[in-house]
Amino acid sequence: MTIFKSYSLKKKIFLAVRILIVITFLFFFLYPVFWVIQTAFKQRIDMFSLPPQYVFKPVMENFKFIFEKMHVFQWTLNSSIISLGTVVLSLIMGVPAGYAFSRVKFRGKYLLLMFILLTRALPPVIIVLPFRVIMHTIGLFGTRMAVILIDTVYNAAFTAWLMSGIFENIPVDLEEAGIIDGCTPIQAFIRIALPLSKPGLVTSALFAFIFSWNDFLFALSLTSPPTATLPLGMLSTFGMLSVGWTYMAAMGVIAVIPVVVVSLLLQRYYVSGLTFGGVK
Amino acid sequence: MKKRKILLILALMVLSVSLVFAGGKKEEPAPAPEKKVEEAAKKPYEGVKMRLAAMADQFAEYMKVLTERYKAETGADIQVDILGYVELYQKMTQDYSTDTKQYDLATVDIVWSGEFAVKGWTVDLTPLIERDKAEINTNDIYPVMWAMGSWEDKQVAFPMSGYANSLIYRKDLFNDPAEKKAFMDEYGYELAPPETMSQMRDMATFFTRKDKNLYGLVANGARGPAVAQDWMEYMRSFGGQILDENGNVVIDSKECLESLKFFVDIFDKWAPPGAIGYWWDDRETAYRTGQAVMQSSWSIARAGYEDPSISKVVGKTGMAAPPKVEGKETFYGVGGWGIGINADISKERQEIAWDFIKWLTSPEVQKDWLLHDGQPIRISTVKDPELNQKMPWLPVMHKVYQNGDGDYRPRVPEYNEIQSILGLRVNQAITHELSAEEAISKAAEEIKALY
Amino acid sequence: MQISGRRTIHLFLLPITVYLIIFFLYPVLFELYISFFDYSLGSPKKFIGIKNYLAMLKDEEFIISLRITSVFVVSAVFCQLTFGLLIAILLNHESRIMNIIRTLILIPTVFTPLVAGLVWKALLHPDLGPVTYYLRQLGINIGRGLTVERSTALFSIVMIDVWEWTPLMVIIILAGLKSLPEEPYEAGRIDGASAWHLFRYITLPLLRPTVVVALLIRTLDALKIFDIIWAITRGGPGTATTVANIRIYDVGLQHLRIGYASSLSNVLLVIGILIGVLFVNVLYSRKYGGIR
Repeated sequence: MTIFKSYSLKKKIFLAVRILIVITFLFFFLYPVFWVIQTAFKQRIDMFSLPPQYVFKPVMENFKFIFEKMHVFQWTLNSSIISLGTVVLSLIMGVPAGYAFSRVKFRGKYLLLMFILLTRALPPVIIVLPFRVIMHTIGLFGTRMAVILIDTVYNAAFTAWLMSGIFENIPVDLEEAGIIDGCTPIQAFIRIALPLSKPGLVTSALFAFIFSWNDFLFALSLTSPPTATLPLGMLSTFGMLSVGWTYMAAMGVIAVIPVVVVSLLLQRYYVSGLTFGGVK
Repeated sequence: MKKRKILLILALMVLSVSLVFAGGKKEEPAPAPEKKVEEAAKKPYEGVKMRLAAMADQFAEYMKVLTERYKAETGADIQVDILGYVELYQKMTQDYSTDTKQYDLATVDIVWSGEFAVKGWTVDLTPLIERDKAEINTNDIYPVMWAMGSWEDKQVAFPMSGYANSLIYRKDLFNDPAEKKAFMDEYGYELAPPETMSQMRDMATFFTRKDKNLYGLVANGARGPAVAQDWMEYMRSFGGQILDENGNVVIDSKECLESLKFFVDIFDKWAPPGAIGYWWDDRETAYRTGQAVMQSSWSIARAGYEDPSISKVVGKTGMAAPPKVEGKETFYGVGGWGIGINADISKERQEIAWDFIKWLTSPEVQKDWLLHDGQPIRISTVKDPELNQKMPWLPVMHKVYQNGDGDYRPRVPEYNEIQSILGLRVNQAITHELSAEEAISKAAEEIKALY
Repeated sequence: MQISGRRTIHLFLLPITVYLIIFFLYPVLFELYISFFDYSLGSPKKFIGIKNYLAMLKDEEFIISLRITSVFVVSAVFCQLTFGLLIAILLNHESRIMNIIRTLILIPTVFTPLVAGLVWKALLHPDLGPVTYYLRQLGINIGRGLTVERSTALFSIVMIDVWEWTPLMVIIILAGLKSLPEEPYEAGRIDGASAWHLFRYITLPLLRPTVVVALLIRTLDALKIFDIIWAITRGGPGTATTVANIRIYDVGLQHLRIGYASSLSNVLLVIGILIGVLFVNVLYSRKYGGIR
């Protein structure tokens, strides 16, 4: 009896500690987000008043300013096109490769896998210069495609890697059966393996999207004003002598909304889709 | 059914391809200027599109209005793209060196003159200036302004916006009778904007009241261009130099050391505690929120103090020529932005760009611009009675321009590397990672190694 | 696992290989080539052999930057893994509120690192930042400000990186947890193992492949950290936050010494390759006996 009682007390304490830890972390992760949102509704002069004010009369000036004086709509569109383009191209490059890695053995597979993975280790600072020259040579400099191409370099490999783990988990028998029924291997891949790997596809897409959406250095070097992205736009609120913090915050809110909505919609896929390394 | 689907997919593909590949820049040929009399009413540059990369300084926003006006007058459509200091440099150097011709025109910092001239990145304007001397009225431009873009016998940018280095102080506090009396009692002389460095020292000490969140003097401390450029302002006040007239490295002088010690004192004694990490905007914020009493700043920031949407010290600001060290004749610091033409673009486009520059720097446009956050280059603009009424601080700027020095930040091709070295070493001095002597000798050693 | 008709499947590797040869290998080879030249952007280049690589040995700031990069990578990735594991385990049960929390917690990850840096710069502003204000109110001695004191600047950068990327770790580990089989746990419970033992001897080993991949990705990305530091301290105060990429940026894109910057960049790439090889070997050694 007493043992039972103390056990349940212990459990209660555990639960309380658990909730406390989660709340602490949530606070840490979300306070800056909250700060950005409330700053977006502040007047510039109130930005840095101490102690921090949380009760104030919200104003829409900042949103009005960024939509009237800055090309926020254009930037958001550019960011979206570039991110979606990166997603599509990364999947086109990465998914078949991942399939091949999981389904066939060949000489040099290890080397190729390493080579592909190492694109992720490439320091970005200097590589933009030769890349810029290539883009200029083939006439793509300043287009959204230029950014898509370099973002894909970083993401295709990751996609291939992730997808090979996903395909490992899909039994090969189904495709074998399909082939016996007269499918070509390509048809077997498209009709049987691909639909089964949907969570993995969604995850890869999400990762590529986040990478591309977040990119700043490549966009700075490779875009022209009509193709500039949101991060560049946000940076342009930073004048030499006065920083448009409230404008940046308003744009930050705009920038985060679409991604949050998308990740909410996709959540049930990606949480189950991240089975790396082939846990069977 | 299937056909329709294929058509739909094709249409989508075409659409996405056009979206993804759009935005590359083709150089449109400039139409030859119309000469026929009957077509004189037609705008000469109708249909020409150009791009201008502008520094994200106060003046940039109104540049967009001005280009609209230029378009209405001539037909040339000039898009203004506003970029921060570091991004601008990065984008322009890449644009010039990979010949991508992204921008036809760009604002050029005074300190980039040497580098741009040596590398031939922007058009040498000397022959054009010589040709249109009368139209430009070169005598109306302060001689010091030509430093914006001149290097040896070239002029790779045209002066556009001249900044006077000046002392910004809280007029209300300096004129407060109680403060005046207290200062008199303590130091034995009248409280007035400091004219010498030792007066500045006294006043900074006098006004620093940490318990009241009031600080006597503030400067930039962040590693990089921020601390390097702010220190060079004090270095000039002390009569120091980084390179002498013959290009020798003379930073390891007594004057430079003195100035660095003074600069370290700012952060140890008089500035808000976080100033060791300040960039320009932080420093200005400290002043505009009423934390700091004095600072050395560019005249371009002056209008911002009267803007109630960002300033809590509206109507309380005074401006004076910067103080000097006793017994030494020094010049005042002048900086600012020129405007340059990309050397890669065609001759026809260069001509149109040149026409825009002449228009932008003409007396009439300069006056309008000065009213909207711009900065002058012309004597007639600074002397304009109407402007003087609205901006009582213009005589101070005139004094600075008349005795100005645009070379205290050496405009040599190696400027950026010199600035990086100073940016690190001066920062290490103010955080006491190095002593002032060590910082100066290390900086001297490293700068000498560049040559 | 093999499949019939594998000749066709080999072709699946063609697009990515061609793509990476054009858009990855070419720039890398260019970088390698140019690193043997004294080349300043806009000036003619001059062949100087391996002098750039020799100069590196005397480049005090670059050597410091390698040290700072390793401190940063190790501490940031370690914190992200620990917190990621902890939070993932705490969040690992199904309910509506958990779904909401899981989405909310992902928000920091979709802040562009540059913007995250700027936001934190304001939060930690040494005189006016709200977080600075609260820390001081709590009586915590943070000197002149977290980001401006030499002793804490790198710590604050690590904290921001942890803020930005821990959520991603959480999501990856959560997914790994979800795919764990039930049987070993049942067996363990029958044997009377404690919760800790179950975690230590069943969960952790089963999670290993997931964790190693997550670690690898994060390590390679952390090695490239640039945006956050560029937004806040640009390498200062002193050299306290000068990571390798900041040094490369200064040399390459500010001083325009592309040849030398390329050689620095190559060193960083080689370090990345070595780390990658190490991780992949760890990953595949037990599970598959290595891919060869």
